[in-house]
Amino acid sequence: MDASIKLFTALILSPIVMLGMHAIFSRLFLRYRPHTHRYIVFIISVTIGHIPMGTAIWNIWFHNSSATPLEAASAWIYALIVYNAMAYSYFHIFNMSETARRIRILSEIDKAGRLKASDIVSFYGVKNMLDARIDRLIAIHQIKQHNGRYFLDQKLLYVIARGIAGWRRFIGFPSSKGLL
Amino acid sequence: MSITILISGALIFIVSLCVHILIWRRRHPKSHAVALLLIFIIVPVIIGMADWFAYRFLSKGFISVSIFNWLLILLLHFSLAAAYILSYPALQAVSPSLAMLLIIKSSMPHGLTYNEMRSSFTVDDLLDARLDDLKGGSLAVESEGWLRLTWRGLLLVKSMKLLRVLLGLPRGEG
Repeated sequence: MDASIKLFTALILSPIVMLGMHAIFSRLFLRYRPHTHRYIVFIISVTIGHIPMGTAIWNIWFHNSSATPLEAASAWIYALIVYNAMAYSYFHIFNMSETARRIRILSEIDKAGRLKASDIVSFYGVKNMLDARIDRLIAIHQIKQHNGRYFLDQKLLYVIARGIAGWRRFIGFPSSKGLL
Repeated sequence: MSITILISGALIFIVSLCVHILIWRRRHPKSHAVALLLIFIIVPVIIGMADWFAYRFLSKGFISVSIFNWLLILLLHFSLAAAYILSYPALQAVSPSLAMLLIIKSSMPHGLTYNEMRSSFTVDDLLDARLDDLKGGSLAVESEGWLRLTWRGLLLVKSMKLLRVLLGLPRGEG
């Protein structure tokens, strides 16, 4: 089989590898280190996933003795970009299951069969949404609480928030009540 | 792997992104999802197929690679496009977590109390807008004041539940 087809196949299957690694590490951490944040578990899973993927791609190209150094480097860079772009996409799907308001609302409607909007507000209102987010941001060290006040802690998500706000303005979204 | 594949895949994504920016800066489409699908998925596939046909049958393709290499080019483009498209909801809707960070930063060095932070968000921002999204995206329907899931909404919920089960995790808090 041509090396290009093998590479394509390996990368198409990489989301399954990612999900498998994440499932294994998620269970291991829940059992032995339950206080580890789920985002950290995700990052560990995907990072370690580079090993089986890298091994597969090494075997694909190692045996392709006709590849020039430039062709081999192109294949590695290509695989790195595709795998990590897929990992980033998988992160959004996982994060959706973890934090998305829409998914929570759909889940509540599914559980109840049908709901009125006022019913949803009664158990999933502003306070619930904010409290969940505050807890999450504190757990991943993006904010901290001191003497009843909240402050920025590490700045990674803040930088991302600034980037998103800037991109929103650039592609012509109106400012949303000064929030973004 | 020829470097042409790497460069072509990246270029197709960059061109699609530029088209997206030009259209959005002029006027936002009625359906963002459909427009993104057209720009990032359908049009590149059509162009790729057209180029391959021209290469294969007329010996005049622009990129001039085999069908397998076109698959690699499109895989690179689709992986980058998927990453952007899945980030798009964070652009389109106000993300409370990110908004919170911006609000807290603007209050530094004094910080914010819980009530000060809470006053920046309303039910309309956080819930009503999401309910409208669900109805607009055909994930839920409202009839006589009652919200029910459509088959699309049910499929999405079941898929998310399956993911949580596979990962051994309880339902997300939202």
